[in-house]
Amino acid sequence: MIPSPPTLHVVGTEMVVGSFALSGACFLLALLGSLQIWKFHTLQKKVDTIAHGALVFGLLATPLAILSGIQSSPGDGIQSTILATKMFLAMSGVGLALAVLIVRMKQGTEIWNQTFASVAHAMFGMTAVGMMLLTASLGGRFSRGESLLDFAHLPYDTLFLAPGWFSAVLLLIGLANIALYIRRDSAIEH
Amino acid sequence: MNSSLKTLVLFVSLLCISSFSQANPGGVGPSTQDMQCGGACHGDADLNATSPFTIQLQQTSTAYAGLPMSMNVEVSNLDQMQIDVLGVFLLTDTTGFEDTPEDDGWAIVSNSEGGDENYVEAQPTSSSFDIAWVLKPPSEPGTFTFFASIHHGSADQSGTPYFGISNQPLTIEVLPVPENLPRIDPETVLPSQRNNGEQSTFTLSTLEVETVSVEWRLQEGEVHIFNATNIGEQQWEVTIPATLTPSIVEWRVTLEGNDIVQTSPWLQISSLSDSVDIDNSMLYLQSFALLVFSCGFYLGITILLPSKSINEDKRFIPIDDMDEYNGGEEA
Repeated sequence: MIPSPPTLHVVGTEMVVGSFALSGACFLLALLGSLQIWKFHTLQKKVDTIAHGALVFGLLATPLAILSGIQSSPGDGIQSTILATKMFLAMSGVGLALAVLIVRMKQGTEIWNQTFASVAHAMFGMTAVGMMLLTASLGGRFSRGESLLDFAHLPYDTLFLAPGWFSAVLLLIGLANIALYIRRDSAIEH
Repeated sequence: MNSSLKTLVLFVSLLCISSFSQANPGGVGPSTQDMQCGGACHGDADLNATSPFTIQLQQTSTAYAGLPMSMNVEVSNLDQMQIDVLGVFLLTDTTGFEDTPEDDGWAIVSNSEGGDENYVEAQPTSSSFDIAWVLKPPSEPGTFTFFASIHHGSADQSGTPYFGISNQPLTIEVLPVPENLPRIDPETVLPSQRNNGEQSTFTLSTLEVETVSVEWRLQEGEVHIFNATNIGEQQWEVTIPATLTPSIVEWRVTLEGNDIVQTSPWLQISSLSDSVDIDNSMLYLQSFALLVFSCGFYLGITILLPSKSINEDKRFIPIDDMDEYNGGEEA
């Protein structure tokens, strides 16, 4: 017996939200530690490991959450501004999280030893987490008509659906940046 | 490909496949569908089972050419089986192709589930379930047949698709419009959707009408009556109040003229969701572009960062040894 997409979606989003929330908290602690605001040297390595490990687990669960979400959405495909916004936020969050993991993999824990790099790393990590949590919050708005973010009066009925050329430009800029990063990284190794 | 990457690919693939392994157990949502859709899984004799539910189709108002009329589909004996979602089709034949009311020249004005499609889904909570459709017949009189079909699964997740169709077709005689009949102008476009919190004000064009009274109600709720404002020759302004929560408001008009009283069927205006027409291919393209752009954005920024430590020393520095690395300073 295979669970229905709505059930899988609940399971998937719980895994994603739990993992990303843990990751976000650890990124904050790692940042505080690296900036010497909160000095806990013995824990800092563990916090770094948990932040990135939880991010990896959250990313692994994300395809399940997204695909089951599309499957369980009412109608044919995505026909709601809230669901479309969720899709944009989730994919942006995944992109940022991937970049955070790549940077951490390439630079190791030393990234926390440079002030600007550690701030940027933690901020991008927490932004990725924020995007995923906002995505989950929009899900609550869609299914139950309310969310914790209702106080912010977000424009739920507004959607910026870009023309194809704009998406293509975004794609090219992203690919160019990735290519530059790979090229620089390989140049450093040589 | 190393073993960890293989494991990762396998894990993600399994997660992806799991949600596609059943047809549409959560339904496909209200839409315009011919029986081919209903037949794809639920109508395949090798796969499906016959639904134990009873389907009855009933005409609930007189059909005049071009004027709104209503019909009702009742699905009963729902206590025979526990189900999650029930899909109901209104069809004009059972060929499985071009068998929607639109294909026969009819227009669906609204249905009691808040849409204007021939296929609706519901989660029934009692032993019978009714859906009312309001349709505009073709402008030429004639005889037409209608069928209702259903499909559903079972709550025990056995995976069996069930299919059912009304035993007898409903035959509807579309009559020519009597010359002196007070009526809504067939050219009038009647609203069926709106946003939450918006009232609906529209102009109702009529023929042979002297007074118009409007009744509105929340579904099965208290009926409110008011007279429409005459704003011109056979032009009436009708305002249906706003609802603050997603809901369906039903309204109908009673038209008086030439000593004849004519009442329209209950029409529906829904504010159920923010459903809009979104080009999904553009949506997926933009989503993927955002993923790549976001990833590239941070990677691009790291290029701009001072690369002293990257260039000079890429060794792994245990952070818990940072005291030594930072010259032995202790908190």
